[in-house]
Amino acid sequence: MHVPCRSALALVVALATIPAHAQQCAGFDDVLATSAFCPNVTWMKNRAITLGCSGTSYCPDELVSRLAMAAFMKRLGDVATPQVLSAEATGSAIASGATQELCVSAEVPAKGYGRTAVGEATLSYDTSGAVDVALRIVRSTNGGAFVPVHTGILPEATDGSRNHEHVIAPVVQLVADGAAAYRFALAVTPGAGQTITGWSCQLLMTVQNAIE
Amino acid sequence: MSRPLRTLLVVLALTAAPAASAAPCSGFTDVIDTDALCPSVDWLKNRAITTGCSSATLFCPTQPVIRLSMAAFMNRLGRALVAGQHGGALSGASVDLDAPPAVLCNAGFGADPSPLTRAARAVATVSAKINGSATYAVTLVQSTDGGVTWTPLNAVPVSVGGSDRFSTVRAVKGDIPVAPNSSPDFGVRIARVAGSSGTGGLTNVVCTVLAMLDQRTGTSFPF
Repeated sequence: MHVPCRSALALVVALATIPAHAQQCAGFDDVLATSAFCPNVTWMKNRAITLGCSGTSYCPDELVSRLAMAAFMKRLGDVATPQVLSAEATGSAIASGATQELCVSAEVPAKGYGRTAVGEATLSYDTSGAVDVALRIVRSTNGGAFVPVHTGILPEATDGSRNHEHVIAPVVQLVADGAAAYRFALAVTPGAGQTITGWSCQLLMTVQNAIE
Repeated sequence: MSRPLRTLLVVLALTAAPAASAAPCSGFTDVIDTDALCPSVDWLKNRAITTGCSSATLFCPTQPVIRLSMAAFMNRLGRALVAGQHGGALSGASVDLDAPPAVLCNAGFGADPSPLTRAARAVATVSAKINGSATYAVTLVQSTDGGVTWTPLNAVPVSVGGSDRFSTVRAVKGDIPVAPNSSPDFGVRIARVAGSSGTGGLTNVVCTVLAMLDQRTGTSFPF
């Protein structure tokens, strides 16, 4: 074999090898990216429903044992079930101009995939005079400070002639980064020179795992 | 020690040791409770997704899944994961705050019993026109006997003064435990706060209740 022919063969071998590596499906070297089932395998891999039969193999032609099936179905169930965060609280005074987080939820742990959250909060409060109140649903990421999850605030005013004013914070929907842990709360800020003398709040958030 | 006695002791030791270290997983004698996948088997058993293989005490962990069995598993898994939801509404009613109805509107799951512990979420909204002045409370309530008796879940107190004032009150609650085999109903009650003064009642009452019932829960009610 003369030199140009050997070079051509080497090139063919190289070209054949590189695309094969690049066509791995979800990191599994035994499923091609062009397989009609690759999107399904990727979906399961991204949600930790499958970990592979080894670190880099999926074993697509192997039968599924009933024990392995149990693991697959439980992991799918965990992914498909929304996490509900519910909080109720009552309290006394909220000082003038101070922002206080009420009804702080439990923490939603980090996941390997995106999520969406919807929810709402209500506040009933007592005043001893005219009060302007700003309400926002806020979120803490990875244990950090609470920040608003939407830019607007919900203002509420009372002329002081009534107690137990009731306000509904708006329903919010947001995309949550899968790599972070979150808590939610209702932030309340009485206006300058004004105080809330008593309050009760309710919070209900539903965190749904992203389906795509 | 005699030979028969030594033999008996050896036999006893051999039979006792596996029993102590290998308890059945979720009632299945062919999966041990220390198996890393026992929680998954238990998860399926508790939701009636698996009922065992050749008997109720065997899971046959190493048997492959045939496509026919897979159909049954997928069907049961689907039913276990889909949350039931019901709504109830009332529009245009009048309410005497001194003699309110036991429940203003409600949403029921009477046709959806389950042997599992479940969790519910409920959202109730009441809008009404206040004629007079009153301190009242809007309360989420739950019934497990088909609406005969109602148990308060939480309450939202509201006061209104003046006349011809519209008010909207919303009560929300999640992680409401629903006992196995019960038929939960969720409703909303409105009544004067005990000891409060005031006159008048409510007209133009619009009430809605939306309740969602998860077949399984996250971390709040493990089972």
